[in-house]
Amino acid sequence: MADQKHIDQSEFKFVQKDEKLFDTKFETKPIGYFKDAMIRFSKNRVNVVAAYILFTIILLAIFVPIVTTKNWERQQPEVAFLPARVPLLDRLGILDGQRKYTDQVSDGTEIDPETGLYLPNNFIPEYIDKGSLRNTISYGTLKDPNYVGGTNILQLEGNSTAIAIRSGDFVELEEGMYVVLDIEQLSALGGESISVSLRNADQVVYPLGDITTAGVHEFQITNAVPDGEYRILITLSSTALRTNVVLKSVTATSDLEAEEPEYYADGYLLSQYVIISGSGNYTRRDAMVIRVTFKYDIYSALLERTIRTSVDSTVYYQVLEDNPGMLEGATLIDPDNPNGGLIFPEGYPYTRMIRRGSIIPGPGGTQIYSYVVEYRYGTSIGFDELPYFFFGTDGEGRDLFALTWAGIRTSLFIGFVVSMINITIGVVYGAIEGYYGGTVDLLMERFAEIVGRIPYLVVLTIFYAILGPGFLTLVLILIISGWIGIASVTRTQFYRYKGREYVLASRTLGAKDARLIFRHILPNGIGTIITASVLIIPGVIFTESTLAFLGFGLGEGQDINLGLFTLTGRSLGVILNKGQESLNTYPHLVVFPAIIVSILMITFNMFGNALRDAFNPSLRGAE
Amino acid sequence: MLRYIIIRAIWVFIILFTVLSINFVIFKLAPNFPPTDQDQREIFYARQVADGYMTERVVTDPQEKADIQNNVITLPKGSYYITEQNNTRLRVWEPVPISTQYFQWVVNISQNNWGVSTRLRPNVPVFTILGERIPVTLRLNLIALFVYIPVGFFFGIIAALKKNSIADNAISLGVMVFISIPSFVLMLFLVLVFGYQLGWLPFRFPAADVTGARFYTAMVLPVLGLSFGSIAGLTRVTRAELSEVLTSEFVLLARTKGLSRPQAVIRHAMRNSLVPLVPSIIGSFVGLLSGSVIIERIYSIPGTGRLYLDSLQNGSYDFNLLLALGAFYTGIGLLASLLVDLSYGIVDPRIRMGGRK
Repeated sequence: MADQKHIDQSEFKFVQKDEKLFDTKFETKPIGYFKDAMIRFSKNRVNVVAAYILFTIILLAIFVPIVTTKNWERQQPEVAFLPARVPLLDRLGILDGQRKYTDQVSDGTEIDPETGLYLPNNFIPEYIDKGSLRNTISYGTLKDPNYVGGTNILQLEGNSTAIAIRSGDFVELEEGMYVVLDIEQLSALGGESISVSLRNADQVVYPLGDITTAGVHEFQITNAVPDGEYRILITLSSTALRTNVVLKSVTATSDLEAEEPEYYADGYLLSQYVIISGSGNYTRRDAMVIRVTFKYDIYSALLERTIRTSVDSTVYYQVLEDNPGMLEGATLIDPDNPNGGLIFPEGYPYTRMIRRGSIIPGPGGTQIYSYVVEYRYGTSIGFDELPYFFFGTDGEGRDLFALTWAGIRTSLFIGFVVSMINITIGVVYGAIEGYYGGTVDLLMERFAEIVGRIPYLVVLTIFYAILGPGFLTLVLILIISGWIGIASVTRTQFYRYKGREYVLASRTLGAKDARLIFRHILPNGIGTIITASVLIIPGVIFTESTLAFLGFGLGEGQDINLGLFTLTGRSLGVILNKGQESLNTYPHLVVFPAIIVSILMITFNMFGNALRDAFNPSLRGAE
Repeated sequence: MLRYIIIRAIWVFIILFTVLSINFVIFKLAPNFPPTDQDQREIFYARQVADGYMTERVVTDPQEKADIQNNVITLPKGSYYITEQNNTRLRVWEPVPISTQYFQWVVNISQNNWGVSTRLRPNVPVFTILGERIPVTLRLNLIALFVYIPVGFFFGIIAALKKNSIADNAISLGVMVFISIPSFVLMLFLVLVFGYQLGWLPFRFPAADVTGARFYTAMVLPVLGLSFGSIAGLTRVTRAELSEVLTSEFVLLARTKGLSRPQAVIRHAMRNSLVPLVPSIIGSFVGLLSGSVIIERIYSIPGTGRLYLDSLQNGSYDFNLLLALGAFYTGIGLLASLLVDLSYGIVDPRIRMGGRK
């Protein structure tokens, strides 16, 4: 830039010395109301980002349920409650379809060879993430076979003087064998004694002896007891209240030095002794249990497992016929036995045919026989590969990802429809109030006040009681007081503009009321009305999801049929309501839809606020 | 002023009465749900007769009895009969016309007789049930009120004083987030994180009569769930009001007189920005109360909101209870709106409502 203070006079010239200016067009373009709003809207970066996110959500809501290949409509209980699994992320160990199990019981029989830790019961070791395996030991009083060791306490209660227990099983006993009783502790309240006896199936009782002290006591079976099967009876008798005995073990053996006696009961087996007479209780104490915490690849465990079953020959041949190439590509399990089992190539319903079952003659000279086949469980229910459920599956095995978007679609639809109705009612109501004024205005204002003052719970009750649940009820509940805000804004605008000269001029020219309202006054007040209307849609979605969450929205089987397509009745609130039932065990049912609805509401409100500022007439032209 | 208060109070009663009347008539038009248990049902009908909503008669005529039993004679909707004395006679209860019932109901509620519960706790007067639940809800909501007001003010003042700083932007973002997220979503997250995953706080409200520390730890999550949205709302309004007042000339004048910034803000700006805030705080109590319905449900709190949802079970409505609860919620809402109107006059000396000209 040159020095602007000292410009040579010769550089100045007249702009239009020789021409006349009457009707030259502006070189700048006129900025209309909406254009101005657009300019001001796009100035704020954050709002533009929010708008993009919002439109992405809306697009996803519209298209995901249409294009998805996963099932979100049928029930498929086989794959219920699967955790989230996302491609690429699963390599990093996030959302990899593993479920964490804490404190699962182990019976202590299976040990992982690599880490030397115990493996839990009822889980397939192959799919346990060995790196996450942790063992802890806890003690309890449960009479459960997984709890080992500990002692059992027999105690007298009330005014009973004797209590007897018997072994759960019959024990094979013969003359010369020993019955050994290991007593850890016997309360010394005076007069207590324990008698040991045997009882056979015919209820004949053979006493073995009495003891009065703790320690290991042996009783040899004499020839008075015939050889046979007996239950061991232990009777505690005392006159003192709360006399108790702590039992460690009961053994029956022919050789006291033997490592493995014929009968040995401690811990769990001893706890299974049954009280047969007297009143008191028999409890277990200090039983040890191994608890295992680990991550489990539930997808593979569920779908990759092999199931062996026998199928009818007709079914088997039908499968072979339906899948050309299956039999041709098969190889023999045992190459020397051409009639034996087959291994089928991959991608067919069966992985192997083990053998043919025996032939049974059927009715009418037919032969009935079956084949024992093996198949991959996943293939049989339509999952040839491990599926990726981005948000996991819900309690009925639906893909939560598609379900969430479908739910948002329903919520958005209800939001738009109800907002349009609310705005229409509000504008018309407010226009009539404001335009006519006077008594009409007073009465209509009072009516609006009464309607607006009814708590939403009462509105809910009224419509629920008359109409029952359904789409119509929901819409009516959302409409009943939703229009009042718009009506009062419109009313103010009408009071402001109805006395203006152009209205008077139009009326003098013979314009009817409707023309004055909708052609002259309303367009002037539209900016303020739009400003007030923008945040109605997120507000309606907010209320709708809350109602649905409380169980008063749509729900299972209440789809909205729109002719061309059907919207699911499971809106977001319904999904969250269902997920809340198993919040602790399956948090993914709540977390993912809740995050999506939060993002939707935040961006919708930001977008709405930005739009409101942009359309606000008092901010027009301001930077 | 007194005249204004009286007019407003009368208006409150008119609205309350209108809402309840609409409610009553609609409940009478809807199918009714008497107690399911046979004995309770008979007690209930006897009570209905005593309250004047039904008439009771004994049918001994064999022809009429047979006609009633074979549905030849159609009894009015909501009627009920039982057979007595080895099927020789019928005891029939029939409702009187709804208009008569309505006037009877007006008389009854003026004597504070709101009827008995039919489904939740058969034949217990509804006000007894309500009386047990109201303290729980009010306590929760008042704690939430006293938590959210100072916190909301604090953040609002910080944001207004440090306008366009990082703190202000962070607070504005937080306000946007917490205003937008529905309270049930927030409460689910709170319960999931602090109740289940971390285990710091109980994941559901403990059974009745807990006291001391356990009671207060149980209150933490519902109070948080209730107040987050309100804090965000109050912060936003405080920020807007205070930052507007701070730019006004009298604050500048106070500063030029030599007052320090805190003095100017607290003595001059704060007091003036309170004018629109106090009414909005009183009004927010109604918002808290209706928000508490969801929180009570998620956290299994035995309050009025839960009671409302329980008596609104589909196909098992407890209409008398619903009517009393409706009276409670509408009454509180109207009372709050009355207080809002009056508080304008008290907080702002320039406003003289209904006063002499």
